[in-house]
Amino acid sequence: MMASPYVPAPMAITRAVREITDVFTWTFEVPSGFAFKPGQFNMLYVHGVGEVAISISGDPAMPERLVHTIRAVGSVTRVMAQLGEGDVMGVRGPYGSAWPVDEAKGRDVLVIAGGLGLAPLRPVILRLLANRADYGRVTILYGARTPADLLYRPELEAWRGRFDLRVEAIVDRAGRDWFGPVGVVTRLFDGVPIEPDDAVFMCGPEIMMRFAVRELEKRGMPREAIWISMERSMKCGIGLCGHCQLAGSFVCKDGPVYRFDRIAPYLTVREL
Amino acid sequence: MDDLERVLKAHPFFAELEADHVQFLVGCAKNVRFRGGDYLVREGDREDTLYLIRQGSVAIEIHRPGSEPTCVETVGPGDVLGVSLLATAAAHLDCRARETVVALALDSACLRHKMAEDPRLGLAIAMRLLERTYERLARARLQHLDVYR
Amino acid sequence: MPGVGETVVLDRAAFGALLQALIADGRELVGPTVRDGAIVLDTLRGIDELPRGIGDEQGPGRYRLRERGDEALFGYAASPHSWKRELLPPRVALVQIRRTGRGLAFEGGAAPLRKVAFIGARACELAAIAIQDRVLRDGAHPDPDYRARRDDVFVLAVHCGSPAGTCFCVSMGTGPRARAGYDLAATELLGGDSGHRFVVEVGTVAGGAILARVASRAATPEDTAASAAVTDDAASRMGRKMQNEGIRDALMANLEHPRWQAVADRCLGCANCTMSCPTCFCTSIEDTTDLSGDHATRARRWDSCFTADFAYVHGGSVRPSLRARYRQWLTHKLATWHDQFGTSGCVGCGRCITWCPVGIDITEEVAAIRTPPDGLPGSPPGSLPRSTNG
Repeated sequence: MMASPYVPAPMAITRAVREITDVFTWTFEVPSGFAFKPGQFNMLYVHGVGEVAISISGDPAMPERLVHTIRAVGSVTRVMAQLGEGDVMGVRGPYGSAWPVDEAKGRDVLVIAGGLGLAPLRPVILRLLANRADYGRVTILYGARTPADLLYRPELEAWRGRFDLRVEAIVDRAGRDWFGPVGVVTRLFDGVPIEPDDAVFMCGPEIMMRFAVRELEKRGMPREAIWISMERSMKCGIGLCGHCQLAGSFVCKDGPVYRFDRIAPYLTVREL
Repeated sequence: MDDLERVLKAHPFFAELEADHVQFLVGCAKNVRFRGGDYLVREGDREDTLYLIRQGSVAIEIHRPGSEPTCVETVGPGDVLGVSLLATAAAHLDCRARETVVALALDSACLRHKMAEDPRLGLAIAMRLLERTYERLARARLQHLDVYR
Repeated sequence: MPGVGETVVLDRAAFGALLQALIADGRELVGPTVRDGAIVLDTLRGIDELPRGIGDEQGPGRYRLRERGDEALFGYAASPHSWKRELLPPRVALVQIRRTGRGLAFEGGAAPLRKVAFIGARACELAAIAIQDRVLRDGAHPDPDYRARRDDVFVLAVHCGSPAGTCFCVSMGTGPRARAGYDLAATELLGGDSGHRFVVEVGTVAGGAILARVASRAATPEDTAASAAVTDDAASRMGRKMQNEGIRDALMANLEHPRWQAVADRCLGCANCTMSCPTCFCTSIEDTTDLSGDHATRARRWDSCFTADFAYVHGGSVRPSLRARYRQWLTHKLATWHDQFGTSGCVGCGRCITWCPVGIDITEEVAAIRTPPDGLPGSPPGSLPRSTNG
């Protein structure tokens, strides 16, 4: 009988780290390597509780380390927040579509992240940096709620230190200990070159992405050059249960990464 | 051309404003410089100056007892402060220079007078103020939604 | 042995013997029988358990059985059950998980080794099975339980002679005559000089093999003509018609039509339509544990897009209003299914009309929604690209 795509593989957490409030990162050592494409996700199973779809946040060039950054926000993820090194999870995947790294070759790339949206973008950032000569200018724009909510801050600051990369971060509000800009993420657009030939990879809350696309279009960016990562509730992750559908699209297999012009008409219909 | 006139012309707020309008406004304008920590505007002050920021970063802040002032937005080169010049309202937020800030300061009373004298100029300025205000409102709404929660 | 494509005639006794031959072959017969005032699908022990002389009356929110006054065994249309209950059962255990110290051991569920024969499957139902095959078996990740159940099913189809008031298979192009997907397809003929008999077409070698074990005679041109006449007559007596021409774009161009609110005002969100629909495939995965917590099960159970939390993101339901959920169901079934699978999701069986407690008729709703309220055509969003990933 064929192997069932519903049966997960057991994997033990080898490292669990607290990130920002309610957010933690798990690493699984997979000696045989867990190959994936940047943008894909896994279904993570917690014994007796349930499964959730979580983007893979690791380095695609280091498949022996599977990394997931998770926010404790629902019944399953809140249980996950209590688990740690040595606990065994069920893993199914990788599933879904990937950031089009080949299509972006030879172009300037603009990566726009909002809040936890930096987690699904981390693998593609690492891919761009590992193949730096294949791309033109690479710019990362990141918006978060407050300075304390900047995800992967030490890594962002290390990236910012490179000469071949531009990283700008902005927060919705701050105290006197923040010397960077304050405001919505689109405020960063004025300070960076934005050309119609750029490739844009964006992930964040849906409202932020819609707002950002409007601002990008005002600056001449065509919709065909923008890719976003969408989120919908998933049960099976493999296109069989029907839950993740957005109009005719299964977000688990046609997405989660979509070219914006193809998904745009569906984002403006309320409650689709 | 006057150095001040050239600087006015170069600021994005006055982009595409007719040359004779720019000249007309020079009399209302002067160059100003703030050190880090100086306030351009304090809550409660009459909003009597339109600032066109040329260099440096300004924090728009609100203060309350028991905690540090909260910055709700930063503005920088190309932005304007004091857009409510048409109403003589009191400022509802502090605007504090975070570093050395160089700006053009236009006296609101002078500006209003010139706008009344030349309605076409008045319309051009009003439209620009409206656009900036609309954009600021849209951003404030988005921030208010707290989408990253 | 009758070969594929040949047609033979069985009398009533031989038809009964055919059913027994299937049983002797180790097959469990699943077919129509009368219970609780309806014709349901259940295990049959023989020809006597078929609904002899029973017919049905179906209308929006209405289902009644009636005495036909004849000996017909298949003189009725769609039952509240569909073959979905056999191939995609309401609840199936998919994975068993056992705690082993700090670790976990996973095991896939096994589909029961049951050899089944579907007795009396209709053309619309075979079309529905083919549609679910595309969704659940022929994609990048086949459902192993569905595939295992589907693999060895013997299908004895019956061409329809008694459509009910809610049938519209003709306008959906799925019936009343079955064209494919069967081992044997029978037309029931009553009375006349030749008596109660069945004109049986052989669809597969397996069908021919079973047929070889009962008495039959070759079909004459009169037999074949009589069989065609039955379905021609049925086609002319369709209860309803779906305006199916260009329906995908017509519905997607009218996503804000006021009719959606009007139908939502009537809809109870009871999900009867999705349960009785033979193509609805939405499921959910349910986790249960034993008392010790050492043993857990993941089961797949039927779900419905009408439930409030069917589609949600962090923050809440994506479709909080019943209007949005009704629109989702209907546009998926009739429009976006084309984008996903290249066919309609509807086979025109009429179950959703019959079993809707408030009698919502999708043929009527479609006719209304296709017409933009201001008379101007909207422009439908383009279809989203299908996945190119594994």
